[in-house]
Amino acid sequence: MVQSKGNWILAALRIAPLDRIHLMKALFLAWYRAGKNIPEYFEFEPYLYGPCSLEVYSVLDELSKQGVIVQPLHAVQEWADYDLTDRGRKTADNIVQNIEPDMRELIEEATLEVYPLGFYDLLRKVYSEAPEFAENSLMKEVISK
Amino acid sequence: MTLILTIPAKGGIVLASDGQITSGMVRATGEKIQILNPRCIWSASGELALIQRVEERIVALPSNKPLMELRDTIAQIVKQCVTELLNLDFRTSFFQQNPDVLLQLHPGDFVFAEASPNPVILHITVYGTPEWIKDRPFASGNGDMFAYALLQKYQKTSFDVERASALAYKVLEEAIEVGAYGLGPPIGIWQLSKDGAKQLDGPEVTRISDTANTLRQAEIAIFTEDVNEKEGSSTT
Repeated sequence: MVQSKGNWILAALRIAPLDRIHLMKALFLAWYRAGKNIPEYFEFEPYLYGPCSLEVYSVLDELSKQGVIVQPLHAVQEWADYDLTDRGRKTADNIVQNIEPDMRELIEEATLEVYPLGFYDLLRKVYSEAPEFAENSLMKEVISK
Repeated sequence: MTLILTIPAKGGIVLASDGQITSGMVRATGEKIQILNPRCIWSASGELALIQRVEERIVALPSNKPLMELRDTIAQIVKQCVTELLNLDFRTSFFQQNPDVLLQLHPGDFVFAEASPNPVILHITVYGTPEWIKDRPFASGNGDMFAYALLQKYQKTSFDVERASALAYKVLEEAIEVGAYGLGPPIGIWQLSKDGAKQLDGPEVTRISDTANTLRQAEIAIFTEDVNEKEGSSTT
């Protein structure tokens, strides 16, 4: 079944709250491990902090406006985790029932993997698994040490 | 209060500013970077009354002329506007013998960036003095010294436009956080190239913000890891 792009974000946040960079990398790892071939998914490009999809930001804004995800107050609001609202959790619970088991496993596994990682280890993991997406990274030299 | 940052890059120029507009005790957000013509953008720090007056005049300038030809005209406009404000200001009579204090009554600092026919950055002071800024970043407004300090290690470094944008964002963000008074988000970023001027939209600025955040976290991790390793080695 074809999913809307927002559904992938909800499926990830259903497993754990994530800040934007961790979420970006979780979505990327699922896509990369699926052979970069998931219908109606985000397209990633090598950017200054590694793989990035500009569309993730627009979809996050849209989901926030819909009231299904929220960022709690944070000292630096930009860095706050995204979490599901009660409505978002109900929506996400329904959505995952319609995601193919293989795909669901990929997104959930990737989320669980990135969730406990600090930034340094997160980038190290992503860059080592997908070095071609680290080629424009400002941190690639440092991370590779 | 304002902080404007201009960074020359390979194939273009980046102009960025904070987004807080202060009027008396009231804070608001707004765009501080304006379009002069399709190839040229500008911004200013200082007194809003002066900036508005200059803006009213420069919008009438011919759009097909390069900055090289407009330089002295714009400088004249700045000088004229400062003179007009001083003539209107009743305080002027108290400081006739003290030009330094007189000019502090209506502060202003103007920066223009144009990518074609040649990339140029033009700075015009409140005295109406124009100068070209060559091969180096330029900062204007309160917090400018802070910005220069953060940029010092990048002297003689050449960036592409995207990297220059990330650096501009990081410097502005740190200047805002560490506390130059009256500065605030949102940070606005414009990229100038041969194709013209482009303002980064919401997702594009967020992407730059995430880059700056990642850089900062990596920097913290480098030092923390180093300390942890040393602590680990001392106990074994």
